[in-house]
Amino acid sequence: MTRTLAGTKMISAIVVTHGRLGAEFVATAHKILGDFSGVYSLSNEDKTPQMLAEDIEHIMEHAGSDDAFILLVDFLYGSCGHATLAVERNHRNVHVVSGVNLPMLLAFLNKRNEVPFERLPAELAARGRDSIQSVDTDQL
Amino acid sequence: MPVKLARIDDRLIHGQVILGWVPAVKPDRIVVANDRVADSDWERKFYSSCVPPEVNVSFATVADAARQIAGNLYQNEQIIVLLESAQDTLRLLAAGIDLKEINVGGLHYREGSVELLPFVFLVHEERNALRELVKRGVTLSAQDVPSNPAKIINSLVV
Repeated sequence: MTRTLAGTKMISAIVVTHGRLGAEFVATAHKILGDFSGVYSLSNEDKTPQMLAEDIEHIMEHAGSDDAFILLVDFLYGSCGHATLAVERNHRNVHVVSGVNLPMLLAFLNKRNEVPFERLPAELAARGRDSIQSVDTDQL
Repeated sequence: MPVKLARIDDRLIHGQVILGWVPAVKPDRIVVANDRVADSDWERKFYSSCVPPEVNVSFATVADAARQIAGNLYQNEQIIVLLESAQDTLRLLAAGIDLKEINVGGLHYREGSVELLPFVFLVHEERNALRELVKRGVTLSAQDVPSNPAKIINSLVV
């Protein structure tokens, strides 16, 4: 599948995680931001990396044909990482960002219409990283 | 015998191995015996990046892994051998590697498979390969992570 960036209309995301983390991230984002589309979740539960990669491809095929995809992964070193990187290798408009957390997903939803696809992964990684802090109440 | 753990797991190197078995077994090396990965640059890089720096990792076809182990390439190391399937494990034994016990760590649901345990689903060919391993005197110990109890499944596959 080859797509040109000129034809890209929408940037979608698939949150690929262990257990129900991804589904809960998306459900929680809906509670905070209300209605949105183009965000999916997949669990690695009971799946080989190959099966998980097929599920990712399946979602991509059934989404808009002009979509670009950010794959948000909880833990890169395992089946979620293996599956998403396998998909990224085969598609021009797919990029993996690992270490997904709620601020990162909310940043995706707020920025996907403002930031070009090429720059979005780095921005999301930065937002996710910046949200991780050791907090001392005296220095707030 | 330097093989401290031989594990069947269709995810090969992943969290359960790195966070569960590596601290329990304390291996010097992980040997991934898999024909596909041995031939895939990006998969070798990916799996290497999963492993903590104090543990060596090597990738070999099943046939090469058998030759390396039999040829005492790893004789000064404690190793974990990871295999993707029961069939690959049978090939390793058929190539002369004598293993008394094999950890069955994860075989996921596929079309036509039957559930033996929540983390062990077998298609017909796999059951046959496990049965052959039992005939060769292997103890099949199903255990996903060290902190969960092991279950001997020999009687379930014959």
